[in-house]
Amino acid sequence: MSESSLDRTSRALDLIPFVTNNPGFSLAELADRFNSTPTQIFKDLEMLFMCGLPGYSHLELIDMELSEDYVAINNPQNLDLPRRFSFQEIASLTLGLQALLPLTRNPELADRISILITRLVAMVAEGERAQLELFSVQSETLKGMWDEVISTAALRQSAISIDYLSARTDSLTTRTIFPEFTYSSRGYLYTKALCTLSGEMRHFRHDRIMRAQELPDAIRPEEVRNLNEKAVTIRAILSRRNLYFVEAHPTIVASSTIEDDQIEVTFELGDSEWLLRELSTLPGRVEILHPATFWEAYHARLGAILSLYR
Amino acid sequence: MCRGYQIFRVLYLCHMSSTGSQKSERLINLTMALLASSRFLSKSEIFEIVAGYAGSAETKERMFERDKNDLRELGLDIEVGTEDPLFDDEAGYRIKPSSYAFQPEEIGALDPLDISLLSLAAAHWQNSLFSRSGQSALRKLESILPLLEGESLSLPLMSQEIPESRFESIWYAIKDGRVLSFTYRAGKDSRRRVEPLRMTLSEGFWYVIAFDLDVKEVRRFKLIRIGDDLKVEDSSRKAREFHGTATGAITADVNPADEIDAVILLRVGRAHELRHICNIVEEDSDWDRATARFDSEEDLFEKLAAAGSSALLIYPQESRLKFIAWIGEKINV
Repeated sequence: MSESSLDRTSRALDLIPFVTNNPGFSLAELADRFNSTPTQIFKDLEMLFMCGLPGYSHLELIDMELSEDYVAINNPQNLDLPRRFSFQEIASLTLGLQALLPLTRNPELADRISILITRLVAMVAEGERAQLELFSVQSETLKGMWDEVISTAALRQSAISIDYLSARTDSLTTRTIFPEFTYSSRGYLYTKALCTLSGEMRHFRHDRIMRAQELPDAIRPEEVRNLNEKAVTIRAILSRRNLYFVEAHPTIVASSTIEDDQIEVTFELGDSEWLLRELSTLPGRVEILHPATFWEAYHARLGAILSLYR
Repeated sequence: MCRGYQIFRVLYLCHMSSTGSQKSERLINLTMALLASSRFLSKSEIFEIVAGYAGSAETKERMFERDKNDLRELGLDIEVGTEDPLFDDEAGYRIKPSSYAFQPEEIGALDPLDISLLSLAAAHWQNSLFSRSGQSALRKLESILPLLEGESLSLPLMSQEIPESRFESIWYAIKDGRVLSFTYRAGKDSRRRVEPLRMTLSEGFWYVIAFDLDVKEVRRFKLIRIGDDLKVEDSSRKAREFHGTATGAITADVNPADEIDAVILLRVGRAHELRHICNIVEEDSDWDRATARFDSEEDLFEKLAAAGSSALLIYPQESRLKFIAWIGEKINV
């Protein structure tokens, strides 16, 4: 989609004070920072080269040095300061900070987040302040006992030994993991880490970690398989009651079609064991269309449950 | 500056007025002129001194009206006034530097920890409006501060906000007080016409709290279930107040009446997830007897099914029968 002249004007007005304050960036670096292309940034700067104060003599035009690997503005005229924050910019930052609040256990950090929110809200024009309250973030995250140990290990790039309750295999295992980063997803904290037990990158839910201990001297193995390789395709028909399940897992849903009271879904994922377990917990009809091996595994699992009650 | 480029500049400026295609340049030149003036500039003065206005008086007038609206859309506060209110002078325009420029003292001093937090906040978003706005806010800060070097934080890095293409339309509909109509794809498809009141993000999903004009009630709608036929109507909503809290409308609080106490047998060395929430009351060589309270019967069934053949529901008997039927329904297709 081509951008409007307004979008271009907006970016150009932001470029001038940024380059004035930060001379020496290349076109590629500026493009990266302004989410654009080097060609577009060059065109913007070329345009700005022609802008200035009435009179438009060389003393009144914006003066810059422009080459592919070096951009500097020597005289921004009266555009040396950026524009004030827009309502959207403040909303984006304050709501982002609100989302961070429940993720910290550190009271000092929580205080700092609250102070930043207050300072940003104060920057909103009084008439628009009530509008800011129309948008909110509710994020409650279930904290685990070992969140701090895991996050610290991720920062230090060191290993931890954990006792992990695997829902997939219904087992409690001790393993060494090298955390990469922690993220929150729909109320839970997860850490993506290299697991030396499986030799793969895996996602560990914090509330399932029963014990964690940092291992500062552990050496990270070199080669790993990537669990995220999408190896399996599974097609199924679910009751429409399970729409929330399809919505909540966009990364494994390759396609979905809603028709009357059912949803036909194609899943693409690396771990069919996980899906087998999840599908067996969904209410209502679940019909596996493909592959036959997954159909058999699904029926065997539910058949084993029913046989307990006979 | 090389002489060639200076000549190019002059030729370019002369040429520009005839092409009329340099709207962005004209907008920037207009901004600079209005910012530089300590007094109100009349339209005729603007047409005379600001590069880019050409054509008949009527054309220039139309161009200026559009430019003024565009600059206001960019958030610039264009003041309208006359030098002497006692005389019926032509209205003039200006932009006060204090209303245009970011005032560093408003946000106050920012240390590396603040910078990290703001960067994380800006990086939180997957929706294009907030993602774009967060990044442009950071660029503005970098224009008045040394380059933002944050402090490493032991905070989760990512959010899992589900990207939502309808976010921007609904955001502006709420801000501008517009009525929305769309097909809502929940239990069944239904056509809705609503006055949007609020938006809230919960568990990764955006919801709009809106007054449903057909059922005459405040309802919540998950954005991801709003169809591609979303239409922002020209009609404005009534100034309706929503007194409930968004939290109350969204959180699926546990209803004590739905809670259920169960007795379950857990296979020894298995059903670890259930063991985590159960009290083991009796241990045996094959099965342990456990008790637990579940939020609802549905919650109980989901957890039993997740444990597979490692958990056996004993009590309540009625739920046991229902669970057998619940599992049966899933395979008798």
